[in-house]
Amino acid sequence: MVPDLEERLRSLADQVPLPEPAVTGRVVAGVTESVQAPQIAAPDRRRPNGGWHRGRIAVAAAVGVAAVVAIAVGRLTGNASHVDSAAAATLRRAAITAAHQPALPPLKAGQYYHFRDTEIGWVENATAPNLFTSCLSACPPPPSDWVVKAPVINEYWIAADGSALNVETIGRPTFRSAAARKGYSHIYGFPVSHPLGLGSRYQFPKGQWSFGWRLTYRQLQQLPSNPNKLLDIVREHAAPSSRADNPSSTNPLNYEEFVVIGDIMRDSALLQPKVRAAFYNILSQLPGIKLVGHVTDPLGRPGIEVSMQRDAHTEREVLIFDPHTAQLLSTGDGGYSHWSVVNSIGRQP
Amino acid sequence: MTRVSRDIVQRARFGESAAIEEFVRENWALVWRAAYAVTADAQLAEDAAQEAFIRALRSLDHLKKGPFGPWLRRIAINCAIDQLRRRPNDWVGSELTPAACLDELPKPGRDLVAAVLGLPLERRVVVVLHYWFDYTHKEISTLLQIPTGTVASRLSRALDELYLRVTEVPSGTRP
Repeated sequence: MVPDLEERLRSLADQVPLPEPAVTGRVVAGVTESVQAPQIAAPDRRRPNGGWHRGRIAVAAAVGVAAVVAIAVGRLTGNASHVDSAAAATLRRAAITAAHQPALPPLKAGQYYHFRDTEIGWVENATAPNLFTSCLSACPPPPSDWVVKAPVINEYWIAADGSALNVETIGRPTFRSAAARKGYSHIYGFPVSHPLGLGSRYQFPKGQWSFGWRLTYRQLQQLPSNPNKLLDIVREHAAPSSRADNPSSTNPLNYEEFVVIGDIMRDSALLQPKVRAAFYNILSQLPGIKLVGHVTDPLGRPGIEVSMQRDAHTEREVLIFDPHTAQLLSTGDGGYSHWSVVNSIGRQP
Repeated sequence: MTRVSRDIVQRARFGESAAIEEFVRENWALVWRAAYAVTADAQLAEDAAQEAFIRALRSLDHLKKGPFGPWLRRIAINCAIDQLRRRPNDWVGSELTPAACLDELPKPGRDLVAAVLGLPLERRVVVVLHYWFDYTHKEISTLLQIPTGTVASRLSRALDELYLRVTEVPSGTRP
């Protein structure tokens, strides 16, 4: 019967034959050659709603500064009724706070920007102590086949010329159960109090390091403080992975914009205060944003959480920020499996 | 589910040969199977797989949340369809010859895999996207730029054809 045939078909995806090993070798060579080749310059930025925007600016010039603000709000939201007013008010306050924070002095030769990120990942497959793998953001929500969770701590020392040092260390594991703990100890043969994995140390040559969304240090420093112009840049990065530009994606544009803003704001110490404020202003007008309220982040720091739900049934993104400094503390996907945490920011030779 | 070491990905993105090789080998089966299932042509699948790995490494910034494996497989499927579209002959209705490596498969599924790979291109693609990679009719419709109704009718005809190919139906009868 056809239903039986459909069942059999669904079980066959993993039976597609693999080619001879030489094919893999050729593909490895091709990928290596291509990745190592110089990158082509990014295409011109898209300017969504440009004509509409210019027209509204002309009107704004006639009616004054208040109208300019109204245009910014209107362009950002499209439909203000979808914005959580409590979230909007909180984020507008954060924008005011951010605008009054001192700017980090520009990096000079020999100086480094120090960034520490703690990611708490669920480990579902650890084949050997020195072959640590984490599921990054691909972790399915528990219950699943995860065995242990462990913090992965990355420290970066980043120079203005794009050189950087990255040191990754793996923290002590927490086990799902006593049985998992016993089994792990039996398999790997060393005390479970040991760090899970050996970490790594990697030196990025000059010009190789870029911040979130491939922004260089100079680009990060020069981001515009005008929310409309800043939103153009955010959309440039968000649209290709949203259904706005990518028919195969189901993610709404505002969801992707929320993700992009969180990624860039992890390095908010390097942003000019007015740029930080502009990001909070954009967030305050993003349709779908919700205020969660006062929370403690995964490192135990108090902050305020705002969230964005992708759709009714799937994951949500969250940002946690310090209301006293408007410093972003954490980004994450709703607290079930993965966090990226800004731990400390400063300068270190 | 595919797992990927963050250290390998980071080094691969910056062009370190050993890391690229490890990244490719770790995800090879997933990418190849997607590419080959769509194209049923070893050369096209090889080109699609290579393109998929390059695209993935260059656009990992776009994967901020969500499973890595399905994301990578979707790229491979898109690349495979691109490869089919770049072929000099029209992609709809073209016939491709499956590779001769099916003998290595276990017997229970071999005949059906061979039958799927032997379907006419337009039917095979909708079958593998729907039954092997869990695409909905609407997603297939968007990806292939054909009406949803056409997706359904191609699937229906493909199932009939597969049924006839993998079952010994006496002459003159219908399932």
